[in-house]
Amino acid sequence: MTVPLTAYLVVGALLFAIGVYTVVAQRGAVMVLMGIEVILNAIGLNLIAFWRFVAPADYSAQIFTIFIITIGAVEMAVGLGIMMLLYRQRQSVQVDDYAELRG
Amino acid sequence: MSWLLVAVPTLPLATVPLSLAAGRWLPWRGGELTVGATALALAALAALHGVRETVRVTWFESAGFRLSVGLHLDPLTWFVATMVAGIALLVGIYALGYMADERNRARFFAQLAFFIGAMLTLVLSSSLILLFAAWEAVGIASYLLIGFHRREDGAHRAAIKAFLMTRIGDFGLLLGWLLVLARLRTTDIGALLAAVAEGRLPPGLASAVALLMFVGAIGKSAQLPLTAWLPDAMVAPTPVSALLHSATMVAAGVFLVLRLYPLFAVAPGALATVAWVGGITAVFSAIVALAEMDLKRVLAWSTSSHLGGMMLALGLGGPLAAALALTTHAIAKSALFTVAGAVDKHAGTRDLRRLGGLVRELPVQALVYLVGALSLSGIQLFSFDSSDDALISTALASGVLPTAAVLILVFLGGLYISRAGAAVFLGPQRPGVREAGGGRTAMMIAGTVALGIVTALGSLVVTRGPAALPFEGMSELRQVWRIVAALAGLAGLLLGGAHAWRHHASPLISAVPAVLERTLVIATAIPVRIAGAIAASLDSVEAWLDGAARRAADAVWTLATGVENLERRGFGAGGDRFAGALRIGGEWLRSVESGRIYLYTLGLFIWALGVDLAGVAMLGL
Repeated sequence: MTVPLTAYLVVGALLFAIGVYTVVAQRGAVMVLMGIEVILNAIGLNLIAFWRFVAPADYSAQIFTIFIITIGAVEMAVGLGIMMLLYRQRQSVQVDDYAELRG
Repeated sequence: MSWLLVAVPTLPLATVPLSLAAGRWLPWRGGELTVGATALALAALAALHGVRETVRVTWFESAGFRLSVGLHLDPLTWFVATMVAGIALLVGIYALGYMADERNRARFFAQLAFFIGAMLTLVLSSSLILLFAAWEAVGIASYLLIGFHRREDGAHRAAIKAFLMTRIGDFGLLLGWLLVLARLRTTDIGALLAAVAEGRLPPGLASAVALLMFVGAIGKSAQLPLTAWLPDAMVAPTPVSALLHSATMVAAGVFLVLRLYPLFAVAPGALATVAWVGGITAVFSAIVALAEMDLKRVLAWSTSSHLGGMMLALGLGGPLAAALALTTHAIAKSALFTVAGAVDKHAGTRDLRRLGGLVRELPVQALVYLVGALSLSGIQLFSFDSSDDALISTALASGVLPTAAVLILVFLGGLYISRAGAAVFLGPQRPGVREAGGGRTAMMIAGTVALGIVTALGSLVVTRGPAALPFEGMSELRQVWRIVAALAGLAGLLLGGAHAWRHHASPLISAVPAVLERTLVIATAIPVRIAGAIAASLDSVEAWLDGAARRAADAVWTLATGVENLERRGFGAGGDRFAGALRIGGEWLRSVESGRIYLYTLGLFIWALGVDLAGVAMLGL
């Protein structure tokens, strides 16, 4: 029995929604970064699912997904580096404490 | 030599600004400048004796008109200019003493210098246009000097009266030279006289020009009907009366007729008018002088009378007699005026009824008065010749009536002058005379004595005159007529003196002259009233124009404020509102920048969602 495309898309949409919620609602900077990671994975799941069911002969989608995973890892490294610096400066990783751009 | 000629009128004029600017720091308050410049001018004239010269520059040339101004020296203008400068010098010296304790002397001397320069310009002018300008300038000088004591009673009114009444005559002069300009395309006097000599001027035009010029002469020389300003002008300081209103300025009218005599000679009608006006004025003024109670006013009426006599001589065809009478009279009359000034200073009044016996206190002045009175009555001290002889020989050539008129004039002249003199110098001293005690300063006596000596020697000048002047010599006068004339003068002098001895200053022939004078004053007042009414009506026109101008200005002002309001309320307010809107919009946008990351993120997602929906909608379409 094969799992239909719709199931993948539903799981991807759920993941995306959870990620968006996490990014918007969480106050901890680490949690926000994790939300972004979830969103990226939701996109990756969508890409793989569409590849598998729409164009299984074309491998470019797998390459896109590997790119996304790589970029996600790099982004996490940079983001966590910024977090470390901010924590050293202010002893806080709560995003609400960083409101200097407020107009 | 031309620079010397130009220097003659320029020197006195040049001292005017000097006196005004620096006069107050000089010991004589600018008087020394006036006297010095006049002395230099006189010296220049002496150096120019016998020179004929014309300095002329073209003022402008336009459409065939050629206006030139310049100075012209010939025996006649030299003669009169020398007389003017000489009298001005002596009267100037007299004025140094007379004005010694006046305030504003610098102003007085500046005005006097202005007059002397203008008068010399008038005499020497080579063109009618410059002559007219100088004519007006001496009128202004006269106005300023009459009104010098402007706080004194009547000075202000007398100044205005003199100015306006002479202006009436000036109008004729203006029309006269404009007519010449229109016809000959030039105002050069030499060109005019040349045209007359060549007969290029039609007789009618010549008469018209001559009559118009004579109207100018009537105003300036105080002939009837424009006589009344001269006696009123006696409120001026005495040096002014001695220089302007007896010797020089009032002689300008006679001089004008003399200068243009060839023109008058070809216009018999004009000459007859000159003779009649002059004769009537002479007799009229002499009669009025008989009853006058003010010493200076007696002399003023006498001046008018003698000027009338000169006009009579001119009208009868005796320019030489007129020129000689002009000189003799000018010198003698200014000498008399300087005496009158001394009397005024000394006794504090000029009223004949309150004066008397001054011979004991002012003997020198009394002597000079006697010399002047004799000279005026045709009796010269050092010579048998006199200007009256020329007058009588001219009159004899014309008939019985002029001869009788001249003899009567000589008689009347003696009568009023000796009446006034006797009332002032002889008899007991009157009570009530303020003992001012002035009038005996060295300068005043020097001026008076010098003028007296010149008067006494005047006959010598007169006998030398005919050779120099460009007019025909008079016919030799028979001895009997000389004696008759001298007797007429002497009889007048003795009778007048005797009358004053017995009745003091009471009028000689009852109240007739006073009535005559009042009639004249009223008769001249009427045209003055009319002129005043015209001026007043013009005033309302002027006021209307002024109002119109004001209204226009107001309209422009309103327009300007309207534009300003529009700018302020329209553009300005619009700009303000736009700026306000921008500010509010900026505030609103600022609130968007909350500094909360989740809101930014949310916005980003919403935006992405919006773009997705829009993309879907577009694909669907």
